[in-house]
Amino acid sequence: MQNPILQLQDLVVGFPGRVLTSPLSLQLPVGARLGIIGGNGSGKTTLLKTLMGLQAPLEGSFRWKPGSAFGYVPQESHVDPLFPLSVDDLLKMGMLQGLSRFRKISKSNKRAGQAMLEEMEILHRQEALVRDLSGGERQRALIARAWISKPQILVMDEPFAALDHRFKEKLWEIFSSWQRDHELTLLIIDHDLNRIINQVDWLIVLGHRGTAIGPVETILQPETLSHAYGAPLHVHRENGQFQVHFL
Amino acid sequence: MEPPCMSIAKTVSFRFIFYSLLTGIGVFLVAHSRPEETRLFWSNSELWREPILAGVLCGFLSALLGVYILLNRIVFISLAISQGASFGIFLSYFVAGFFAISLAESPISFIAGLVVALLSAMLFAWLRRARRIPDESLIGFIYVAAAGLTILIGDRISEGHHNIDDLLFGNAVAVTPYELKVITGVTAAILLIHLVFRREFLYASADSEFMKIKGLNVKFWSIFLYFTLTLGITFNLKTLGSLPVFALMVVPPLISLKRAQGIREAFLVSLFLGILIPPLGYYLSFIYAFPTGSSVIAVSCLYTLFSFGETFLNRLFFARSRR
Repeated sequence: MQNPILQLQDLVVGFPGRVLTSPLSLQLPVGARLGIIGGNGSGKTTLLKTLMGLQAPLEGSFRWKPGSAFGYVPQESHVDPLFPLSVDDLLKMGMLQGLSRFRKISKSNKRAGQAMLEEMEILHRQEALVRDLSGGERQRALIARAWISKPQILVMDEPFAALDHRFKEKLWEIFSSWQRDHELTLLIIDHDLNRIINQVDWLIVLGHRGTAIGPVETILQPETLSHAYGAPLHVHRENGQFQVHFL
Repeated sequence: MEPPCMSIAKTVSFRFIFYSLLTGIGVFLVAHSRPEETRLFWSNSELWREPILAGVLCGFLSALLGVYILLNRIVFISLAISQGASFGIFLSYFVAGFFAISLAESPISFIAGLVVALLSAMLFAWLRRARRIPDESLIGFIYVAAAGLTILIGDRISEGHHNIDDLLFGNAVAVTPYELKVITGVTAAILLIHLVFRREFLYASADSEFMKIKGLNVKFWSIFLYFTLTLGITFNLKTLGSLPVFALMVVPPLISLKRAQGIREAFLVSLFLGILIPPLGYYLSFIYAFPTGSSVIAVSCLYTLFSFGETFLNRLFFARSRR
């Protein structure tokens, strides 16, 4: 593969004395959708944080395409509720590099921010404090913050957790349009196996018994998944959608 | 249904007017109850002009830095830094005594205090990144280590106790024009740094993980923030002393953040209170012959009580505007 956006070379993540994954190797093309699934404590967030450079890998290495910029949507807001930061401030955090040090925020940045919030259906909450938002609104504000600077890679840790069903569906459409227009690469952690396998084209399964990594069609072999989860399961297609059932 | 909210400008104006009015009423009542002392106060303005100006600058700077201190949940850092400065000052006198050098009229002891305070703050900023150690325990460690060493060394110092007291507890009533210029310069420099790098300081404090991913050097900005905090605290220490500086770092931001509907409001109200409290403290100290530092602390506490009245009035105002 020429110029992959991400290369993993026998990457092992975890903490000193606690290995969370077996060695992971992968070459991810630009514009791919990589899903990361696994049970609680399987190392999904640790893997993302390692890939974001927030913690060191235990073994092996990874390399992003040089010059790639990231957007990051955490599992839950890390913005301390003591800070009286508004949704507007949150967007400014996302576009810090593009802001003038001495002048007010430019009209184009303001318009971009408003368009972003409108797309996330929270424009009416622009002036509201982050701590006063509902869980779903906060999640949408965090997605807006991550995407406002139009990064090449969007990394999301359970972005759907606090969203209603309608907006979850809409969000996949929004991601598709961003990918179409900007060659965006997506890395998504999700708990819902049957949802994510139908939305991504690459998959990392962090199972109890092992790790599976590769294109979705390869991973969705019952023996591969069964091995990763350590449980017998059945994979079938229903109305063009993959379905996994544990036996 | 979200609660109705006033615009930031209206809220800030309301809070400015509320605290100005209360201050005015307080001054008026004191002037009426003590007319002779009040007349003396105004006729001797040359006595308190520089000290009050220095107090205002000290309050302004403390209120600015205090917002970060409260937001970062490290309220006791100013006491730990003060203690670090104390150790530095005592150390300089100890070393000078060993070599039989006099430090009277010399800035060396102050510089030593500043250097040790800076080292303490840097140590805190560095260790703070190791997430497994709670901030409070780090601050406590720095405080107790500096305090213990200060007592040990203090026991071996025979000279300079008066100078040391001035450096540690401030000499609020004897500020020379030169000292005022220095305090003005330091306040202006720190204010400028905080205006230019306000976003870096704020965002690195609010969500360090996200900002690190966005490419911000969070460690650098945290250390730079602690550098300005230490600089401000050490210079203010020399003007007002440890406890009044602590009060001015905690009370204005506390009152401000209690009801702040935005970061700009938080800073504006805190700075306003930082300017308002010290002159009133000095005034009451003159009229009732209180120690100045304690008077500033007492006024700070009084404003905290006023803030409950502000909350009550605000609710009343909201209720009326809703009807």
